[in-house]
Amino acid sequence: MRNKKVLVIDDEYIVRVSCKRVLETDGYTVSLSSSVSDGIKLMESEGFDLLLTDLIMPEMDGFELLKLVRDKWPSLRIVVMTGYGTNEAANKSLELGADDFIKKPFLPEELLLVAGTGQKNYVHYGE
Amino acid sequence: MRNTVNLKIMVSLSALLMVGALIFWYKFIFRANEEMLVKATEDAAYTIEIIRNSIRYNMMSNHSEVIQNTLENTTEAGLHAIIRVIDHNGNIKFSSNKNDLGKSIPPDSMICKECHAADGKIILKDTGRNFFFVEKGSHGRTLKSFIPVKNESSCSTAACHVHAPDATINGIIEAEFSMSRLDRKFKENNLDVLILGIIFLALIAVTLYLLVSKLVIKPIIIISEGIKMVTRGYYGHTLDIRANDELGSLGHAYNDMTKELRAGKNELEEKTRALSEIMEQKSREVRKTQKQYMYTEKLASLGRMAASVAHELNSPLTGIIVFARLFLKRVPLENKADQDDLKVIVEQAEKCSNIIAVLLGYSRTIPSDNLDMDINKAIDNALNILKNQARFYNVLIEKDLDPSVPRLQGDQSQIEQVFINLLINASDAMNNKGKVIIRTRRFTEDVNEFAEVEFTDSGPGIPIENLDKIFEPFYTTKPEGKGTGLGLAVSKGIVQNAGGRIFVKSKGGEGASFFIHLPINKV
Repeated sequence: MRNKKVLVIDDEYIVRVSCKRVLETDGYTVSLSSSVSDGIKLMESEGFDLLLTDLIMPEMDGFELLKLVRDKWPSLRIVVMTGYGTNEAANKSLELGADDFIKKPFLPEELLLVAGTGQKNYVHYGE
Repeated sequence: MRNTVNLKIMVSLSALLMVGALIFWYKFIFRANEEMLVKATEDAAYTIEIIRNSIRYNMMSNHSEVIQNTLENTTEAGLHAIIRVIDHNGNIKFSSNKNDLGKSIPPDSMICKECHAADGKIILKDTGRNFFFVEKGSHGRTLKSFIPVKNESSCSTAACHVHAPDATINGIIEAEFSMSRLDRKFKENNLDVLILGIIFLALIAVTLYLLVSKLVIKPIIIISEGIKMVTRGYYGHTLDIRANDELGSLGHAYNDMTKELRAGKNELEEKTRALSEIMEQKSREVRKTQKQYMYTEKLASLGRMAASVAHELNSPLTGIIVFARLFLKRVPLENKADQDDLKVIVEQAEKCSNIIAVLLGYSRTIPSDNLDMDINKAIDNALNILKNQARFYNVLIEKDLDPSVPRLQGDQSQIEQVFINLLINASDAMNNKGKVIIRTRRFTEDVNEFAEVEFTDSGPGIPIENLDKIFEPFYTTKPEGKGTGLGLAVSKGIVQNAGGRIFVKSKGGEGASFFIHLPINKV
């Protein structure tokens, strides 16, 4: 069940690597892409269960990417990563078809939670 | 100006008076002199006539000595004239002046020319009124009067037989009167007239000058000074002209004019003052707007900078937190020192993240152009932002939203930031475990309608002594490294900017309730 394929698109290396390390601890197969175009190529050649993407990237507006991906892969789970100060962007991305979003910086536990499907929002999380 | 007018009047009047004096002089003095001259010639003719008659008998009798004596006697009797008896050949036969005897007059003298023309013709004139004037240099002029002595039958038949019977003229009696007395008299008369005339002229001129000065020039000067004052913009001057003439009415007209001008000027000044007050107020408003604009611009640029810094920092912070946490999981629990050190790294990175969040929240006090907000939607949005954060995993959110709360005027993203701040505070206060109730409702206070948002948490509440301080900047009760003390201060600023108010109610140990009241603007 944990052997799901995840694609991470972010132009920041440290974010990509962080995501990969966290998700791999939980058994995900993680592919990385630093640009939208490369990411789309990868998605076309391989099937993914989850797309984890940044919203602001140099070459393409994050919202356009969302629309494009949602059109092409209607059932793909999409989680958007945003920085602080982009509350509107986060809410807008939900309206445009993202399944969930997470704010950077995040804890490993928070990332794993949004990566898993069908989880309740308010689950007990014990330390 | 005074001189010019007066001079003009003086000159023209003097010329007029001169002409008048000349006419007067000619009409009376000159004519009187003429009359006297005529009288003198007539007197001369009579004198000769008398002398001729007085010597007639002696001529007939040829009493030469008696004739000479008679003539000389005239001088002694006081006659200022030289009487001569001249024969037809020009020889002076008798004279009241003995020195003339034996002399003769030249044939071209005036007496001869009276009858003998140059071409030899003889013109016999009326012998009654023959006279002419002779200039004699420094002695003045003399009047020469003469009568011819015609040949009578008794002359040629007389015993002496001196005169031939066929002669027409036997001789001439000539009288030479000195005119010096008369001429002196004329001169004196003329001089008198001249002096009197000049005195008269001078009197008239002075009188006229004074009159013109008083009646015309002085009022004109006063009026002219008044007009100069008006020209310089001073309208408070009143002319003191009491004359009841044209200049007096000009003065009254001037006074009326300055009165009107004063009234007009006052009105204008009043209007100018009012206008400048309006201008002043407008410029104050403009300055205020400008200040606000500059403040907003400052905030906006600060916000842009903060957003860009935040965006840049979020990624490395992600790396620090994630790798520290992954490392922490690999450190055995018994290695407490390493565990604690790694926890410090995570804590400090989270603190950085909080500072960025507050900075961004602060930059959100800049109002955006979109001033339409839905309070219930803003609550959902705020919850969306927070739900995936670990500190809300154990927080139960209970919503009691009134769907009849209308859309409000205000910046929704700012209000969302306020809700986020309040929810984070609530979670922190409850140590990330507990319940938050969110309520919205509408109510009326006096005539104003408000929307109320309530956040009630199940935390320990706020001690009464801290209630006043929690909205102050940099006031925090959170543990070191957790809070910045800006969240509530920023939230208060945002709510007040939107025309609302924020306050807290708390009883120690029973949680805290934050209330936000926002005005509902009726269109």
